[in-house]
Amino acid sequence: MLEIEKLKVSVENKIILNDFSLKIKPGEIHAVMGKNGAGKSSLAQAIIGNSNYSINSGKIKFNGSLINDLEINERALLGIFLAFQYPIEIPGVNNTYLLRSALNAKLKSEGKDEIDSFDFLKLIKVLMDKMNISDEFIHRSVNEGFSGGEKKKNEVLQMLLLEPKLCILDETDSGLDVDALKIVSSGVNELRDSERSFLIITHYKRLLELIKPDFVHVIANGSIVKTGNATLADELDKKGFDWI
Amino acid sequence: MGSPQLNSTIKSREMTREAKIEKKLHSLGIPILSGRHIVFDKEKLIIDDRLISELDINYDSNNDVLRITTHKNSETINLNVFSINLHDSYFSPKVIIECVPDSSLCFQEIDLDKDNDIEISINKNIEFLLSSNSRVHHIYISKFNKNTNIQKNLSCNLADNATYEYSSIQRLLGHTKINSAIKLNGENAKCNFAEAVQLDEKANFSHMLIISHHASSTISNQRHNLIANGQSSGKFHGTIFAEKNIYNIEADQLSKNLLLSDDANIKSFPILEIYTDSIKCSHGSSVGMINENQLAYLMARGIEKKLAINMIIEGLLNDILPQENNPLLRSLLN
Repeated sequence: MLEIEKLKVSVENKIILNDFSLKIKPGEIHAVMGKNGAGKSSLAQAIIGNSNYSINSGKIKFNGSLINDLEINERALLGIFLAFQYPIEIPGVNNTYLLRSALNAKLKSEGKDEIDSFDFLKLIKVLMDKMNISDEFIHRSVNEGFSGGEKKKNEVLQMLLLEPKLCILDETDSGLDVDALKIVSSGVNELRDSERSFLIITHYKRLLELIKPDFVHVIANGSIVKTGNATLADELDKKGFDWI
Repeated sequence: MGSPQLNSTIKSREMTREAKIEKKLHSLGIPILSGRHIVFDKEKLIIDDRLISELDINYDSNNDVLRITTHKNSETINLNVFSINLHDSYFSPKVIIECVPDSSLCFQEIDLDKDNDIEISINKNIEFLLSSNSRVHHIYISKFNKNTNIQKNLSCNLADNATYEYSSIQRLLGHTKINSAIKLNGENAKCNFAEAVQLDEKANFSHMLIISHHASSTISNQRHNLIANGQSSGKFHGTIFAEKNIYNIEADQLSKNLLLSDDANIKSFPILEIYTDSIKCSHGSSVGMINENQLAYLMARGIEKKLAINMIIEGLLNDILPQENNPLLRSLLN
């Protein structure tokens, strides 16, 4: 599904990812761990196509097609979704407007009719109940005044609505209490199937206890320095990163 | 109550049925608004029949002065005053609204023109006189073409416990200059002033607003958002004035401005003139381009760039009028 080959990414002429390669097959869950500043979030931003992250060399392929030059929304419509580490506040734009616009953009790209208000509200209500989100939530401005946990829940709500092919979770577990973590992870687990892949960026193993990864990668200085299975997360939890 | 003579005066200018007014508004794409209508239409003034028993209305056609007075203890009246289809080269009405004690009015002032070729100069004066315990919600909507020059003077004097709320959306292509003076003269008087202005092409806009606190326990809140596109320019001078020997004052002012092109410019001047120590006051101002992080966030959800930018702009407009359910405002916002 996702193939990254020898990727070199820079931000304002500073190299962030260097010679980075990764393959994710359909249905796989990959976890990326590493110290602060190792390049984990930059990897996520480069995959979704944030224009602040320049690809100097290398390839990002999605389902066999090169996506290096695609705009951020074009990649999203292919099915790449990022649950942001720091969801952005957009004053005056309510959640309903964002969610419905996003869903309609997806439906349009699939050649389907837009969803009407009534059907949309029915659909979103079901998903909000799953995420234990109150009704007033969708009428508030996007992420404005949300607690850290609410912001993360909102990201997963969007993911459930859009049903992407590749879900990238950038430190979605940070700022969540135990109960919220369970709700968020159950939302993620609900999306798991043999066709959908996940890239989970995290510092801690607690999320990986609830969402079992197939592979765990350690990233340092912009490239993968170690890969293992789920037990690697346990080892990192005990020993830290310096031993690698 | 209107006098027989007044009724006769109004009828002689032209009395129409509600349907005729609605038909005219519909032709301009204006949604049906609840309430009563007064329409400045070409050389005529059209007044809803029902208003005669609900308000005191006097129109001096020689001097183009419309005076409206509420009735005491009356229910809130939704009054829509339209200036549409203006074919005169010069239009200079003065509207005086007097709210007697314990009365309230929703005053919707709507300036629109559908014809893009007409050159119009508007010199408008709106004056509110709010007695004790009276309340006005003043909604101002303006949408004019590039050949329009608007000079508007707005004044409001508030007595004890009076409340003046101003919500405005303006989409402009021409030249507009507004001077507003809000005077909180009585204790516990309140003013909430919210204005969103969108400028396109070579529009030129300036608003000089002074909210002055002359009595204790008065509260004011100013919110201004300018959005400038093309080669337009906008200027906002917002002053909070509080005189000495008054106490327990609250005054806030926030101006958030968005530039949509390299050739547009916005100047914002938040000004404080405070002569009392007993005040809680804040003010802030920002001018910037579209927030790239907001844009990336929306586009990361599959939303195309143009729509994402529009959403951010709408957000800025909505942010200033968050509780506004007025159908016309909503239609302009969207």
